[in-house]
Amino acid sequence: MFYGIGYTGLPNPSGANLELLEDGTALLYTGCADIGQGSDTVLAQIVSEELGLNFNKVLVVSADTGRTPNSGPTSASRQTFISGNAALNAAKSIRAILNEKASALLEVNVGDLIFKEEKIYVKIDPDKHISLLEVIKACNQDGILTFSTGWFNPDTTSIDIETGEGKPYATYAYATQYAEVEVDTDTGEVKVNKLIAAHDVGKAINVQLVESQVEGGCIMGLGYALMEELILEKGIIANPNFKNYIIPTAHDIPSIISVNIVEDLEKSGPFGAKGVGEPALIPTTPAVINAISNALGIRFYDCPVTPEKIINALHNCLD
Amino acid sequence: MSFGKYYTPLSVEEAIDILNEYEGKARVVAGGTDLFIEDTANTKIDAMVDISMIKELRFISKEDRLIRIGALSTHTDIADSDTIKNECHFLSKAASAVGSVQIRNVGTVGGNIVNAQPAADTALALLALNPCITIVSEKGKRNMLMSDSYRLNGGSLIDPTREILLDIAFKSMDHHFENGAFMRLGKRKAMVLPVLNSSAYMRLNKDKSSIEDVRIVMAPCSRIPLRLRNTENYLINGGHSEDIFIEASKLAMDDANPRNSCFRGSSSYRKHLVGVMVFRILNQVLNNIVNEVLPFNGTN
Repeated sequence: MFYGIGYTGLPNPSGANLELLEDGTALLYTGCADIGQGSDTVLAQIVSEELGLNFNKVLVVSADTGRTPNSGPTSASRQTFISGNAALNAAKSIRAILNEKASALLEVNVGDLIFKEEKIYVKIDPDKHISLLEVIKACNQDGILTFSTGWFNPDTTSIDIETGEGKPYATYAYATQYAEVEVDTDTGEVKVNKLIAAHDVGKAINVQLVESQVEGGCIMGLGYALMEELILEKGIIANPNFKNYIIPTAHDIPSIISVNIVEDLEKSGPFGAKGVGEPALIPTTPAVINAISNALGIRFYDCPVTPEKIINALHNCLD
Repeated sequence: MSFGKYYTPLSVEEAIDILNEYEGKARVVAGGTDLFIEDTANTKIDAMVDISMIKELRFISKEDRLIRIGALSTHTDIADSDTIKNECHFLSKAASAVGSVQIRNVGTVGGNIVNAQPAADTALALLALNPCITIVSEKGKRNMLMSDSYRLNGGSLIDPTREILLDIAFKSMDHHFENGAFMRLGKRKAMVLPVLNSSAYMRLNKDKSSIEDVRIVMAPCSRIPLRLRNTENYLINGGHSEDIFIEASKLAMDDANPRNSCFRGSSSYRKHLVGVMVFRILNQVLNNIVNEVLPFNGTN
């Protein structure tokens, strides 16, 4: 499948404020809400990578309407791409300030410097370097604040109402998932033995977070395929609780969930990254249902594919 | 639910005295995993009599051929007990299937029986063993068959405002000729109410050619755990070929006769599952006897 990152054909910018303090700590203010997907970590990684800081030196203040700028909602699989770019742009501005001061101090051209491990090195002569702290101090002595803002909005257009043409997304995430299932043709129970997921995320800023995201999405997609069902009786929800609205437990997940990360760098993304929030879960449901169809030779067009639906379909086939 | 005083008696006598004092307005509680989540916003109980500290009610023993389980034994106690695993492994399997780890650690077999949910796993497995239960009240002790403790239209004959279930006792099995099985079908593999639960017991004759006795219990398909008597009668004194088991599973579908349920499925689907489950459980028990299967190994 392929899936657009960000709002569809609408602007959805994100802003970030970044302050590099004289002790080498970076304070990142972002409106981006980390709802468990790990954006605090990823944004800190982006800033630390760009400025050559130790990851632990980047403190993230996030999702505080009293202190942080607007970064848009954590939805539409957009935050790594859009808030990541905002944070990166802020970091790039500060890097430019430091670059200019360091090149003067080291007497080299601005383009000859790399930022790594809290030092600024001359590319062709690594023994020639200066510490980040020294450069910050030198800036401060000249009355220059190592402070900046950054913001980013994806390059999109609205969709033409008549022709449907336009550029709704700046980038797309691609994925393929594979499911192996066993169907008990007497009870209708489905056992998912194996799930293999391959996701093009542009660049995995944090490999472990991407893998966890995909694993979690796979489990949710499996539940959507086989278990999740809102039961209505005369318009009233009969199962408004988790006792009777069924989602997977640890015992229900396959022993093998294999996540394979593909990195086809996205030019407009921070370090090439795109997004993976929704893509993690979308392919799983059709993969599982297609696997059931493959096993039984019967197609199913609505989910959940419950044991009862399977038994009914099998009985109908025999008739 | 609201209640007044909360007592924690240390002996059965003390508990019975408190219950009598309140003349039916107090209630016995042990683990509380069923009671405290009851949807009874308007219920007011004058006093709770928490018997969970009465140590002598929490035991599992085997003496000669009699196995006794104290009513305060938790599902975990039963699931983990070497005695149970060796003597009647399917009871350990059933107790392992109750709710969640936390519920199993706190919920008791006594509560499981008195709360009388038809598909209660541990109670269902016990019924296949046809146990005798001992109940005490101010009038003294009385014994009855566990199967007789269920009211026809649901619930238990044991009165939790006056009586305390003490223990459950059943004969141990001779694994050369006798064994049992427990099976569970649910919408997921853990922490779910059952779509269908079944337990079975079988005794073969000395040369293992025919079935001397069989008990098949199934739920939920009525207000109480259901013994499939017609199916049992068909099987007794007959052989145990595949054809016989197929015929038995067909009889079971009429014996059980489940209704339409928005959570468990349509009547026709549930009936189909009854047939499948009876066929499978009979085969599993037979297999357990023929192979003299003993401890619960996680799947049998």
